[in-house]
Amino acid sequence: MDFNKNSGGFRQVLPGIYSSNRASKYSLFTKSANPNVSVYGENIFCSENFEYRLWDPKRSKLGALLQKRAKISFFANTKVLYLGAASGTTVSHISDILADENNVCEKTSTDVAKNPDIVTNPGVVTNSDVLTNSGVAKNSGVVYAVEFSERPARDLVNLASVRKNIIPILSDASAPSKYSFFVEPVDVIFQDISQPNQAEIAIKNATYFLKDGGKLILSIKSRSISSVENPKKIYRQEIKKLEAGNEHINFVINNTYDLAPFHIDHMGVVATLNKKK
Amino acid sequence: MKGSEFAEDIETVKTWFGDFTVSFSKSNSNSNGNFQIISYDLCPKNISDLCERFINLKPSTLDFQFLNQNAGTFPVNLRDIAISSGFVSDEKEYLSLLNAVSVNSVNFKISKSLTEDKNIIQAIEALDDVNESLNLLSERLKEWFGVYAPDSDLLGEEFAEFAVLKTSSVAKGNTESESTESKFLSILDADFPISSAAPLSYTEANLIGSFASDICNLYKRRSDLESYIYSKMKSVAPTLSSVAGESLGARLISMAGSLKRLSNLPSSTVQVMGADKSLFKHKRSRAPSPKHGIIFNHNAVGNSPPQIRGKMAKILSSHISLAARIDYYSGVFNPEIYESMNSKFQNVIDNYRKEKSDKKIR
Repeated sequence: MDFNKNSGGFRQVLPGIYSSNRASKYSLFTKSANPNVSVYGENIFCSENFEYRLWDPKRSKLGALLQKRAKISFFANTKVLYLGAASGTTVSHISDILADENNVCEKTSTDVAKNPDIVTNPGVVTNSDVLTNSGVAKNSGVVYAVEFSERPARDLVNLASVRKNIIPILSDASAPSKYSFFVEPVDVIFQDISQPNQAEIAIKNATYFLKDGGKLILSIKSRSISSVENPKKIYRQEIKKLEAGNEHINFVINNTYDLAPFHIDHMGVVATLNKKK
Repeated sequence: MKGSEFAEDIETVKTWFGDFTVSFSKSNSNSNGNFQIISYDLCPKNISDLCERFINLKPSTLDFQFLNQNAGTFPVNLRDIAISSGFVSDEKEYLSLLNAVSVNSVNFKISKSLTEDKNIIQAIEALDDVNESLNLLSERLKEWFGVYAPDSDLLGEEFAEFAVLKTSSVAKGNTESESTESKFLSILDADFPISSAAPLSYTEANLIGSFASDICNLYKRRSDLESYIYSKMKSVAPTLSSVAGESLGARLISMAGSLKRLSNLPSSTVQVMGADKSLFKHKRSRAPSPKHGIIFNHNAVGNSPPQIRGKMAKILSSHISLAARIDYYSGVFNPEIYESMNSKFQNVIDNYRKEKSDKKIR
């Protein structure tokens, strides 16, 4: 896979994420999986046979994180749990990235495909030929999008009925057992819920679903935790909560980003899960 | 310790595509305690059956994720289990099936989510919108048609009706005889020989007439909405509407989000609901705390002297949350709340009057 392959002025900067010389050099794009449709009123750029959707960092925390030079990679086979999907603004872009044909598979997963035994539990009755025959499907990534409120879920469902790699979930993110009977272990948890107990919710969901070494991307909205305290104090306090974790897991903080010009009083945190032995 | 390693439990794990009977060792996490699928019972592979299962499946403490946590093994991928058990042939099929099932079940949940109080919320918000646009439009009509009817002192709905009446006569008059002179009619039979009313022509009469009749319709719509809210509040939240009044009650439900949320809120929150700005000012700096939010619109709070408004607001808000709880959880009208509130109001007012007269005597 040629990472910097030019296609009509669009250049891949991260897997599935493009920049263009036709727009501002800072603006990012994803290749539209559902052409001719603008999900939230974003601009669409056409080039050769493809359409590219402009990623508005002011509408999306993840877009803002990428603008802040966070190296976040979603591969074609990444499984994402998205908490607080709302009407699917960011989810649509993640769906684009996962469905992108130029996107590459994560290396570890291809290793796994060669040796299918380590994927499943040794005890599981498994037809080991099944995996090697089909291999890891090219774009087998999926977004599990959790939303609590019915009104935005209406838009989310409309999005999911067109884009097959979005699984909408109408449920409370603080009760992961309500959707654990169909959500598989994921590589990335992205959380954008403005709740005072957002760190606890992240830890709870990570205990259930995040693979060992998986990433947590968290956007902390300090104003929803306390409107009075100094935001920096709140960030420190929330990061401490993540580092402490619970009896099963904790997090190692990789990086923090202030999302300042795009989202005020927000901080993006990228952390890696560490399973306690 | 060795004995415990051999102790095995057999449980059923429920997934969206079938039940799996699993045996797992209950040993501690140091030994790589793993589990085995003994047998499984797959759901029939059609979307309606799967959806039914999806919606009705109760969350259980035992699922594969739970086993993962406790057994400390590799994460068990539901996808792989589905493929190895022969439920689906490959990952693509698994994903498209899961997508279809989850979209259908979320659609089902959304369609079931409309409750009675949601209608009230929409109606009260529509009422606010109608009010806002009515103010705007009737102001415009007053400006515009006022040129042709300067001595009219009517306002609002009456003025709109008057405009419809007057313009229709001009429009009619024109259709009967199309002479150029009859296009210019002074509307008012003035006592003064020269009226300041401008002559109204046929085209303007038509335009202003239809504009005014739209406004009249909007006034009708407003009264429809009001009567709808009135009757709906009486049936959905009878106790709340006796305590707070129909319109204030509806507004409180709309601000809380639902009757359920209103009943869960503490009464101190109800008291300052709608006074966000001053509440946060109070929390940030040394500003005094707000005494009342939207419940200021209640007669007992807004019309009482400032010295006792805080007390009245406290009594009112506590009774509002009591009433909301009664309405949400029992749904039966309870007149006692209203009576006890009134007696407490009377106490506060009496005390205040007494203090006031004492001061005067001194």
